[in-house]
Amino acid sequence: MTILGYLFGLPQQLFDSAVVPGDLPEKAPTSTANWRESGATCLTCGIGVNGPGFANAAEQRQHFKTDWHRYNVKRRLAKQPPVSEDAFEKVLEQGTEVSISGSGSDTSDEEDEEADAGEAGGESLPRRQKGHAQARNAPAGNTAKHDADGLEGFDVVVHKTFHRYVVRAKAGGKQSSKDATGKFARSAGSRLRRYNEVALERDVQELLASWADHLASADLIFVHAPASNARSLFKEEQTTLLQSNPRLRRVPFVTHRPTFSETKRVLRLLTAVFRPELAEQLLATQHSEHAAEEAEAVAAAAEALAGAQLNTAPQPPSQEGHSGRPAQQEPEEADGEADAGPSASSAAARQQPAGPSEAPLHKAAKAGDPERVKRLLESGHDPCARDAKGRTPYALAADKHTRDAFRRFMGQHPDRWDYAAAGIPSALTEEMEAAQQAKKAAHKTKLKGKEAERKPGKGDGAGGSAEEQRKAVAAAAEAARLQALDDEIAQAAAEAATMAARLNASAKPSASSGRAGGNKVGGGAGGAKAGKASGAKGGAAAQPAAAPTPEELARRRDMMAAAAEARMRALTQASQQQKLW
Amino acid sequence: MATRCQFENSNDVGVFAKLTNAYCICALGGAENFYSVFESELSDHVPVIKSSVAGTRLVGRLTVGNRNGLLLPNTTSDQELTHIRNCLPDEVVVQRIDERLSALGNCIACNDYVALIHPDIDRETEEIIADVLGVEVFRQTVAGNVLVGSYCAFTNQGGLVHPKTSIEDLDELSSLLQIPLVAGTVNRGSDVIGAGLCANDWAAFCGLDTTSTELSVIESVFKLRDAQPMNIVNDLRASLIDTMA
Repeated sequence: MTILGYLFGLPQQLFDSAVVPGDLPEKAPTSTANWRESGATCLTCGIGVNGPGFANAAEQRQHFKTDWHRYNVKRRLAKQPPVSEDAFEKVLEQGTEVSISGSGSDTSDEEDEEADAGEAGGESLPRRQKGHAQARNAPAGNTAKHDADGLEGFDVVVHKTFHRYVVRAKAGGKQSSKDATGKFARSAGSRLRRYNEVALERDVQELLASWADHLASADLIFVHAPASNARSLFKEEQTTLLQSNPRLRRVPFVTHRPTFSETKRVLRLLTAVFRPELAEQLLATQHSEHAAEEAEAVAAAAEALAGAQLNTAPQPPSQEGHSGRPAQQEPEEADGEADAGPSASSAAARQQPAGPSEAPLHKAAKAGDPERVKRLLESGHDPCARDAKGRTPYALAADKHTRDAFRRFMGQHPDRWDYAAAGIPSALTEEMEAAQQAKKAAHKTKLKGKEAERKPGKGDGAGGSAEEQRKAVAAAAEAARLQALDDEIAQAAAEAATMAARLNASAKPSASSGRAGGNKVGGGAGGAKAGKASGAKGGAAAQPAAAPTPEELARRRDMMAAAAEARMRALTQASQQQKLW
Repeated sequence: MATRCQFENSNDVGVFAKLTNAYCICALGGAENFYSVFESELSDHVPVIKSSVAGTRLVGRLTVGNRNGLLLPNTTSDQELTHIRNCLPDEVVVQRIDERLSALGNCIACNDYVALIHPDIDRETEEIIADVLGVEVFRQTVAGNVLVGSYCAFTNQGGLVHPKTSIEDLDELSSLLQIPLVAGTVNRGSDVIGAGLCANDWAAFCGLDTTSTELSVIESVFKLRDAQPMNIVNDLRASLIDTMA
């Protein structure tokens, strides 16, 4: 059997490439000449390619677990050359975004944020304290430990992220809120979630207790905890974090999934100062100056401003947000341009790659903001400018109002730009708008009039008579059908009667002559009655008349009568149903 | 021995079954054939169970496991988790993990001692893999593919990797994993090894399309015939000469 199964000869070389594990540890340390053959290399990082490889397997395995190797794996996938260990150290020192694990930069999925308590405060200005606690609803039962990578200008004193499975998969919401609806599930999953909810609460309490010193020394404590989580955070017995604490502030804007990087972003926003007039100024200068130069200038201005704000510290930064300034309404501007601290220049630099193609006018048009479009056009932005894909701002406009903003501007300044090149089809002046309004109003009243006309006309007009006619026709048809049914019933009764008569007649010769007369009379009476079409009685009448005849005949007649009766009953029933219907 | 089978006319048996040294999970299918093939080969030694994962039949591609444990994606329902937990031996740890890359079988390849994982997998997940499966974890690619689970299959005895893996990469990988590796194909030239094949230390199953050359490579590299790789050629030569004589 084996002979038949393996008639194909395998080339010797195939198995030469297979390495037997026992050989390696002995071979690797001794053979210094050919590392590549022994496999004691890391081709991703370039170890053992030209220079020496690893001395033993343990060393190699150790190397494969380093961040340097991971970084190079990512570079290799991106078809970039590997970096040396020293270069990697430098990359780390620069603090640029090195995402070695997949968890660093995932902003794609949105999960409910649960609780995010942070504190920001400190004695000396550049050295601020930052702590943070997070709890996250995610299906996993482990504690996440994120690395503390650099937060420019701040020292992270302590931070912690909790990670527990409490949200009902697909259905959403916490298990406790589901239980509160009165449906108490007893599944394995629901028990897990119940347990995890309690455990999460306990974790947070314990953590806050252990952070009591930090919290006590903090100038301000920022907390973000939506409704149900706030309850567990500010428990009665919890003394370190009371709702009445005068240092407590809520995070006055929307936050994303509670991760450490999100906390850093929140802190950055909280400590940044946004001045609307500064943004105006920036927008005004943007089209004339070189983008990089002015971003730097504004960053510097923002920095100076932030410095002043923090130095004097007349009010906590969170109240900046509370006072309703549009820090969040224009997130792009707030994020990129009013970024305080040393991060500002890097933020500006980061903005560069996306920057030049997206002019402010394009952005405003895309966002569907007619006010901004109007402002920008009046401050001299070119509506003929094209973005990377060659589209003008007008082409990008999100809705009619935004397009109207362009057209209105064209109406006001008919000679300022080449509007054909900008793709703006026609001007929109105030007279035109007024005319349009009037036209619309007229159309509306006309429609209303028509509607009003239609409503009363329904009751007495031609339509009414048509309906009556239709009704009459339907009634007539119904009557005709009923008539036909009645006829059928009468016919059946007559038939039954004649049948009974025939039977009577057939009974005559066999019966005694003396009784024949009586029989005849009875049969005749039955026939007469049937002739009147009085229904079932016709059949029934035949019965007593037949009674004195011999037994077999009587039985037959009985049967016939019963059959006739049954048929009549069925027919009357049908007619009744028809009537009902 | 390597066995050829099919799942409802599909040759990708590695997609519909997960085979380890301690258990085997088969997909719930319309026909019983697939399950019976596994049961007849394995049921004397390990439990063979039928289950769906996340409501799908892609058991092999969504899960990853070895003798020590089994990891399920977060899309797995509670019922499936409980069913699998109940059916597997107590010493096998079953855990559901919250990983963005939810096709764990495609992103992770492992035996009882080492695991290769997709470079983008979470650090947390990496820790869980190391803890639950009791393995050393390496972020690596196979022939430039990040889906290491799809493009290679290895046991404690040996492994088969993507046919386009270079000799240097092959040497490096086998040095890292400390097992012999061969670059090859399954199912008449398919390069998705992980999907076309499932193997443990004493049995392997591959698609019905697998040629006998491929089958003999599989049997020799996974050491399924109690034989050294060299013996196949020697046997063959001997038998050929025997018949010619």
